[in-house]
Amino acid sequence: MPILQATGLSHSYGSFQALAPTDLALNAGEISVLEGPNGSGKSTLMLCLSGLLRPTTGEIHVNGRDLYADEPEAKRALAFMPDVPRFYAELTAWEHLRFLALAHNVAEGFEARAEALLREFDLWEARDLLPHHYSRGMSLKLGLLFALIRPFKVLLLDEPTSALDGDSTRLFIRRLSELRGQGAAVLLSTHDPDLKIGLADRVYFLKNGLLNAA
Amino acid sequence: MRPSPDPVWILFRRRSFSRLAYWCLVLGFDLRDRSLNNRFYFVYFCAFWFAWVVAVFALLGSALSGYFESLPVVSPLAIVVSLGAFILAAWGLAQLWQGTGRSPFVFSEPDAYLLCQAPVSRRSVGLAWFLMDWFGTALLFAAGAVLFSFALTEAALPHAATFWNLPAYFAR
Repeated sequence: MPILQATGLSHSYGSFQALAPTDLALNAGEISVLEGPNGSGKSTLMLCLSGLLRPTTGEIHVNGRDLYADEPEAKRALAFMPDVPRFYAELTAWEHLRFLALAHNVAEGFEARAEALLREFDLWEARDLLPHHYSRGMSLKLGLLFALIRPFKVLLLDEPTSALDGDSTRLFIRRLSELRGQGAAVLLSTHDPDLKIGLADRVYFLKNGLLNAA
Repeated sequence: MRPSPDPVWILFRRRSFSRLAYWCLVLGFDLRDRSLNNRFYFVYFCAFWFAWVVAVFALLGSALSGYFESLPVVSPLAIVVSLGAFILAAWGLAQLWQGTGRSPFVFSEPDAYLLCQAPVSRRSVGLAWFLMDWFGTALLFAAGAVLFSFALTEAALPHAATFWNLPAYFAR
C-alpha cells in the first residue's frame, strides 16, 4: 500500500490550470523522480502534496491519514524541503533544529543527533549563525537537515541539489539511498540527470500540468 | 525528567524579545549588550524615557482637560467614559469587519514552512499569535487610558499643575 496517495489532484491559479487532475502514489522504499521543464507545475504539485497549497480538487492521504482532515497526524509522517528553504530571522541553525525536534516530539537525544548531522553536512562550525548569513548551498543543506532531524515516512524534495557542490551532492545521494533502505518514500523534483540515473526507481514527467510515468 | 518546552512558546519568546530589542534600539538602548557600562546606562535610559513619557502625557492631558472644561455642563468624567466606550465599540466593529475578510491570524512564510508543517498544538499557536498580534493594540489602548487619566487629574486640580502635583497623576 502506498504511503502517500493522491487522487484526482489538481490546482488552478484563477482560470489557469497549473496541474491537471492527477493520481500519484509513493511507495515505501522507493525514490520517485519528478522531471519537467520550468513552469510545468512541479513546484505546484510539491506544494499541494506538502499541504502548503490546498488543491482545487482531489484528496491526499499520508500514511492513511487525510492531509487536510487529519493534518497534524498526516504531517507527522511528511517532510518537505522546498527549493528555497525558509528560516526564522530570530533563530540560529542549531535553534531551528531544536525547534523542529521539539515540534515533532523527538527532543530526547537531540544534541547528539544534531551534532552528528551538522558535522556530516559540514555545518557544525556555522551552527550558531543565523541562517540568513548562510550561502545558498549551506541553506539547502540546512533545509535537508530540517527533514533529517526528525522521523518521517514521506520525503518531498524540490530541486534540492540546485546549488550544491560535487561533494555535497554525492553525500546527498548517499543519504537518500540510505533513506530508501530504511523504507522512506521519496519524491524528488530535479533537473539534474545524475540524480535521476543514480537514484530513480520511478520517473514521472510533468508538462503543462499533465503528469505521466516516463 | 523535565518536560520538553513547547516550541511554539519558545518561538513566541524569541520573537517578542526580538521586537522589544528593535524598539529599544530605536529609542537608544541595545538590549543585547550585556556589559556593565550598558547596565548603568539602562538606569539612565529608563529614567529619561519615564520622565519624557510623563511630561508628554501631562502636556497632552492638559490640552485635553482644557478642551473638556470648554464644553458646557457635561463633566469631564462623563466625557471620558463616553469617549472610551465609543472608541472601544468603533475598534471592535472595525476588527469585526476586518475579520470577515481574512483570518485573524497572519502567518509569515517561515511560519508556513516550519511551524504549520509541524504537528504542534494548534491551541498553543492560536493563543501565542493572539497575544503577539494584540500586544501592539493593547499598548495603544494603555496609552489612551493614561492620557484620559492625566486629563481627568488636570481637570480635578483646583489650580494650574506644578511639580508638587506629580503624585496625583499616579494616584488616579
